[in-house]
Amino acid sequence: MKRFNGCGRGATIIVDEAALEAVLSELRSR
Amino acid sequence: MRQGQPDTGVVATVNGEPITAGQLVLGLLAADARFVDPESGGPPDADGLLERAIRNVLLRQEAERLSLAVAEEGVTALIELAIVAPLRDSTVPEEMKELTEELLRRRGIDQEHAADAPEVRQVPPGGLLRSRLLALWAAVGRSADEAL
Repeated sequence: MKRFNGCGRGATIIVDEAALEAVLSELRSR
Repeated sequence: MRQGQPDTGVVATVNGEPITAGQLVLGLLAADARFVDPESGGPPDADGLLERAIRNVLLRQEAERLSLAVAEEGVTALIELAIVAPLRDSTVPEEMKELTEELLRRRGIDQEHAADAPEVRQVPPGGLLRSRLLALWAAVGRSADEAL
């Protein structure tokens, strides 16, 4: 998990990079 | 997102609101009627998908904060334009049509009635609200970059 602030005027955004990579990998494989 | 499995896995959260793998991919379909990135003129940048989805959630959250609403007719029209119409367009690459059909089929959504599916209807409001929010922000001297 990666957490960062600053976008959306103090919004808290947490990214599951492994899950994101799984989605992108499937899209790239098409 | 594995073949044949519902892509309900959470990829990110924005102020506690989840973005699922399915929403991310549906966002790709709605990104442009001809699946062309407006900036590069080529296929949509897969790495930009998450940023687009996050921006969509931020726009909707901001709109809710400001009590802005999106006309249901506008949501329907945008889904027809961005998702349904390209399936009948001979200039849209077949592989993109197949991707759309597969994603809708996986969710049990009939392509002719995609605009009726709640999951699909979640996608366009951010884009529809963008111009209204930009106008509001401009009126109070804020730029889009500053706001988002």
